Amino acid sequence: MALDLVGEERGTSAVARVRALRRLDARPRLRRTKILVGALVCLVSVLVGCLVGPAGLSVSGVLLELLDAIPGVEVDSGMSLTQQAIFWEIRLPRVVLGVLVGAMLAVAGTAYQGVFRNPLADPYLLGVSSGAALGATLGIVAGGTIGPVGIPLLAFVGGLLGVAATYALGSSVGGGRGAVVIVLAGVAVGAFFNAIQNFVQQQYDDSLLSVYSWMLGRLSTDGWSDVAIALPYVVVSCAVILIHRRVLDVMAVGDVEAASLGVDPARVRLVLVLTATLGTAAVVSVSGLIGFVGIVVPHAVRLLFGAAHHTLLPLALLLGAAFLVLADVVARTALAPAEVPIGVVTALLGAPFFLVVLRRTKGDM
Amino acid sequence: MNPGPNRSRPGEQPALECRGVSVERAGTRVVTDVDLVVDQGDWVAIVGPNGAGKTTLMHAVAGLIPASGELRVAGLDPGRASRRQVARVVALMPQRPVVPEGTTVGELVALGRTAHLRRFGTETAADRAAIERTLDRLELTEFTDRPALGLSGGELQRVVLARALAQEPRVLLLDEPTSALDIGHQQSVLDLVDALRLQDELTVVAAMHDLTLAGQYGRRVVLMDHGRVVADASPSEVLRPRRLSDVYGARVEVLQRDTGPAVLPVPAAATPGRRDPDPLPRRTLVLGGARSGKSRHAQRLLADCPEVLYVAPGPVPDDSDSDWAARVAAHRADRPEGWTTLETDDVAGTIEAATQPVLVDCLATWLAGVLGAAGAWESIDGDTSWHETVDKEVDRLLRAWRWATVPVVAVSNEVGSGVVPGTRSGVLFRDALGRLNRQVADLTDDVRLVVAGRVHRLEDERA
Repeated sequence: MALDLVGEERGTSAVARVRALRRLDARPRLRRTKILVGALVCLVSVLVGCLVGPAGLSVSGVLLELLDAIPGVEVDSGMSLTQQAIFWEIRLPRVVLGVLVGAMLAVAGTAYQGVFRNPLADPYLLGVSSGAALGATLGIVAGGTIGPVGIPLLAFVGGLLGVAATYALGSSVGGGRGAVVIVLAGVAVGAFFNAIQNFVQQQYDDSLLSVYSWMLGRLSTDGWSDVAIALPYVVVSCAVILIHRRVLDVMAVGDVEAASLGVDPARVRLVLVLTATLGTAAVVSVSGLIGFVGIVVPHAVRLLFGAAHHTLLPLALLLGAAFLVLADVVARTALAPAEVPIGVVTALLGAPFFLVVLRRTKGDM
Repeated sequence: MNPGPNRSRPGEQPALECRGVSVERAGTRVVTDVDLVVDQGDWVAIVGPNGAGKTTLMHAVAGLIPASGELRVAGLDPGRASRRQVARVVALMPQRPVVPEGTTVGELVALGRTAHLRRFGTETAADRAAIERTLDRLELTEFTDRPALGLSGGELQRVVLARALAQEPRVLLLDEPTSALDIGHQQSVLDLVDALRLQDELTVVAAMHDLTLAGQYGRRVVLMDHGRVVADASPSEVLRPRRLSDVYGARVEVLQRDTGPAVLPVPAAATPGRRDPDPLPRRTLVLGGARSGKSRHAQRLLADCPEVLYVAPGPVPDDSDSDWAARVAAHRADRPEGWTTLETDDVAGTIEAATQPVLVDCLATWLAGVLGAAGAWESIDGDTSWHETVDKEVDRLLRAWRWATVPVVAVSNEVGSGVVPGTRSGVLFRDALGRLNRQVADLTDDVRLVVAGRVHRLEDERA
């Protein structure tokens, strides 16, 4: 395009310019709308999660019960004591846990994909999964002596150890070559931990089933204890990742250009991997290895709403939560009274959904 | 006429200053000992063959890779200052920009504001205004919401330039800014940068492949080879066929035009059996004792050249040393017709400005003059205050010698302990001249020794 536009051309270009400027002004509003839609979808999913189940609860009952819980508000939901107990101690904690796990995995996945500029990165990339699996396997194998509190703890520690080993290995042999070496170190560490985990599993084949079901992931119905374990990590981790939304946009142009724009890529990568790992390890320790959420949700959001992190991160959080809550609804109703492992559901639902999104947006890219 | 490497207006801090800058990558030196001073508002084009270290030098200037030596950009040391601080004064337009999927033009340009934002903050109204201004300036407003991935090479180049300008830098580094562009877009991008440079007093340092464009837009051209700066002067001084064939291994013709030199490649077929047009090595040093015939040999080396600048430095002989005066007179008498004789101590300046071959006869008398002017003869033992003056003069001479664009021949005395008197000043002179000879020889293509009228070409045994 020539830089000197003359006569008529200048007229049409001025009109186009005014239009473009108007679009610029409309942009923050558009972003708010997108996030509002995401929040709505998330709320509806939570409501569906609370309503669907063997014990039928009414919409109005659930809404009034929630209203009643607000301090200073007294309303009668019309639910029986049993229904109230089911809602408060079984249904709601499970839905809230689904929200936490789904949000965390999707946000962590977005952060991992951002800092490694790798569309295949997911929260389990750097060895969280294999470390946590090893920890959980050891806990399950140890049996009663460690108990239900010990397994999440061991999984949590195992996950953190896995990533720490990856990072230490990656940055010591990398010679400053950055992201690629760390990802490769993750592959090596993952394989190593997997080997040990497989060995332990083989030695104690009587616990094979429990190990297997832990690995496929499930949301517990144990009341609020799991929520209490995961909540602080998820809140802190999501908050730290969200305030890096602008920095993640910069990371997308690669280490050299990011550095020339005023960002320290290695430091950003370390901080974000650390926080994302902490949150992921926390949710993995209570829910097992739920696959597919961390990779499918961010990509679907990216394809539908754009790659800018100021929209992508909040939407990944909201829609990740919604996706997992809905997947859990399917998991516990499809073969009721038996439960399908939620990892199976996320993949079964997620894969076709993702393909549809990919197909529909292909033309725009 | 000759901007020289150290030209800077007094009292003004240069926008960019490199002193002895070296960069190592994976254990190999990629940039060696680079001196480069660029004034505010100047445009310096860095040229050189692939792998000469142009990009590496730019990355060092932007603080993206560690470098040794002294480096200052707009008063900052890019290796020490924080990334944000550096990014506020230096912007880099990369050779092959990374275009993230799903990013729009507006978002990509907005990244330029990163260093100006509050930590973890987002764009303020002022930032958005700066972005819109830049988009408008580069006529990109209509592209704002277009995905950057779908842009043509020329559009993308403009977008990345807009991002660099949104940084509001004082120094703009361009790494092969036009490598992906056709001739029209090359011109429009470079014209644009030049206009912005004049409007904003922006300093531009651009690594460029196209030598003609480098000469047209660069007010100064720096030629790099094997990580070193081998020439740093005005375009017409640096872009000479002989030098380009030395450095690039290319056959070129250079046409001097008002807009700058135009460099044309010449195909091999066009020069069947043509020999090097100028078989004389560019720099020759002829050494010899007193009355060895060294001056005569040096003159014979240039006998085929119709126009030679004969430079006779040093103290003009007076009548008290009649022998000396007679010898100088004899030297000057048998000079060919058409040669110009110049009695001056400014050997460096003469070589830099010369457009014809230069013969310096001789370095020993020049050095004697320099030592005298610096007060070396009158100094007492242990007083080294005169060293600095002498070193500066010698450095100037070596620089001119190293970057000579015309064939240069220098005559000097080969000194030994037996040749000069054992007095204090004699020893001092012998040592200084010995050092000078050595330094000049290090930068010389052909060193010859004349003993009693017989000539030896000297082998370089250091390698």
